[in-house]
Amino acid sequence: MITFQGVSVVHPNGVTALRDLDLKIEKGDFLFIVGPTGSGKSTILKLIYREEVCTAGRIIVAGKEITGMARRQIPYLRRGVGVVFQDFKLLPQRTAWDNVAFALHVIGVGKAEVKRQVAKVLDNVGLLHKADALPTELSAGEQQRICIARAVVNNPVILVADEPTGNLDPDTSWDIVQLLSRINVKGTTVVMATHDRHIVDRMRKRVVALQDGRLVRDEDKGAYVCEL
Amino acid sequence: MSSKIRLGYFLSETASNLRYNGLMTLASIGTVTVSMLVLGAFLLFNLNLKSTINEVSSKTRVCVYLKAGAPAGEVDVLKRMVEGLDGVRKVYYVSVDEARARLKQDMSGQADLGQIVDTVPLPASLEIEMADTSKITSVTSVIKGQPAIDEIHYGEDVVTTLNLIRRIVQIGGLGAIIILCIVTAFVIANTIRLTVFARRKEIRIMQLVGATDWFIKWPFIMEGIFHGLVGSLLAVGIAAAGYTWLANNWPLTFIFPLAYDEQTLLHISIALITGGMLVGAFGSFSSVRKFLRTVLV
Ligand SMILES: Nc1ncnc2c1ncn2[C@@H]1O[C@H](COP(=O)(O)OP(=O)(O)OP(=O)(O)O)[C@@H](O)[C@H]1O
Ligand SMILES: [Mg+2]
Repeated sequence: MITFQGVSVVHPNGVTALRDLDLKIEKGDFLFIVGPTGSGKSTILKLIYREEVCTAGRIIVAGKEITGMARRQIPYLRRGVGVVFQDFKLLPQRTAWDNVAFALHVIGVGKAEVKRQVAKVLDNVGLLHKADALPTELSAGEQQRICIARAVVNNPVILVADEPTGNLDPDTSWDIVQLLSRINVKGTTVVMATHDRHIVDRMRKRVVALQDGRLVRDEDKGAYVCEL
Repeated sequence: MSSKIRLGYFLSETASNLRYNGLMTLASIGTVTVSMLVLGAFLLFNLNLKSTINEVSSKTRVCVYLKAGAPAGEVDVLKRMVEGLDGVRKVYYVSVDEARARLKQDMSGQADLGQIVDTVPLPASLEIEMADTSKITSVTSVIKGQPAIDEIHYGEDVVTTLNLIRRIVQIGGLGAIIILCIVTAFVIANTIRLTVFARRKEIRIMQLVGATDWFIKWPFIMEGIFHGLVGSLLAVGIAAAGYTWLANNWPLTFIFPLAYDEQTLLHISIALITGGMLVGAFGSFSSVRKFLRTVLV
């Protein structure tokens, strides 16, 4: 589903964010990316939805080489990759419903279809009853659910989450990860960067650890820190 | 992907963009109005200059004096040849008798001169009325070589000076208009940039969920076009009112009346509106395009 081959990212200011990374993520995987701050976790995620470009190597996403992708093709790549952030990025003047519907509107989905899909996805994240609430009227956990709903309303094949539980208390964090896990079970490949040791240790999923932009560990059913 | 949904979306986006920053919107509409007024004034001035030149030209006739005793057949051929030249409207043949009659009429107050007029030798001539005075030199240069011709006279100086003024006004005006349009596009671009900035979060999310650049750009471009449309409509209104007033209050002491050709005035209005919308489209397009390019790769 996602392949990194010898990927390096060197920023114009000389900072090397990733060094010669090889990584293969299969369809239906649930993968944690861990590592200290500045180790390159967000960089990997941004490369997947092409917010950043690599300075060396190749990246293949959903069977498509995106390394030299033309700018006008990027929107179509992103329609297949849902993105969730630590800081939610909801539009404050729009209701929960409108925030989710927005994601379909702007890619040209028809009204009736938008209505159907939004109702379905809000029900899936358990917030159909809060459809008319503004983001300020929602708890942090609820806001993150709306973000996840927005990310998956278009049925993407990949879901990328950058510290989605970074602003949440442990219980809410666990609920959010469970939600991601349910989405994963339905077939969506999930890649999640996190600092949350408890979640990683409890989930027992594949763990990729980074250090200074280098891959230092890649374990199935791994833990937050190396257990050997 | 029905186009109806898209149109509705664009219109509502444009409407809400307009609400975002009223003052800047007024500023950019005002700049369009000013530029289009200048453009309008220029076009009107040019129109009047052109009609004045035509007026002067139709009164300016080129007098081609014929040699005494030039055969009638040769003169006739020459007349037909001149009629065929580019820029010539009409050619009149003035016989010796007619010339004398004219002279007599001119001097009708001075009765005692009548005798003299009868005895003065007068040449026959061809009088050329020009349709386009800028062609005057080429016409005369063709005629000069003809054997039947004695001398050529015309109001050379006035005509060439007017044409020169018109050329200078055209070039200078065009330059000024180009500069004004660039400034206007710049002001609109700045206004649109504010709207774009106010909506940067939405734009960012649109990009993240896979909206195409054009989908994102359209509402902003429509906004720019709308500024251009409103601004130029205002300019047309002001120019029409001002020009009508001028035409009605034109001092009679002036030699020439204001040109008031409705067809041309309509064309000028259309030119202003089209110009305003184009400038608006261009300004907003460059602004939003630049923004999209700097935000993401
Ligand atoms: N636009 C940029 N320009 C220059 N350097 C950058 C840029 N973005 C990231 N970096 C650098 O690249 C490195 C990796 O950044 P990245 O955001 O991937 O880290 P991270 O693992 O996500 O960290 P955190 O856990 O704090 O989110 C860091 O050293 C960072 O300073
Ligand atoms: Mg990060």
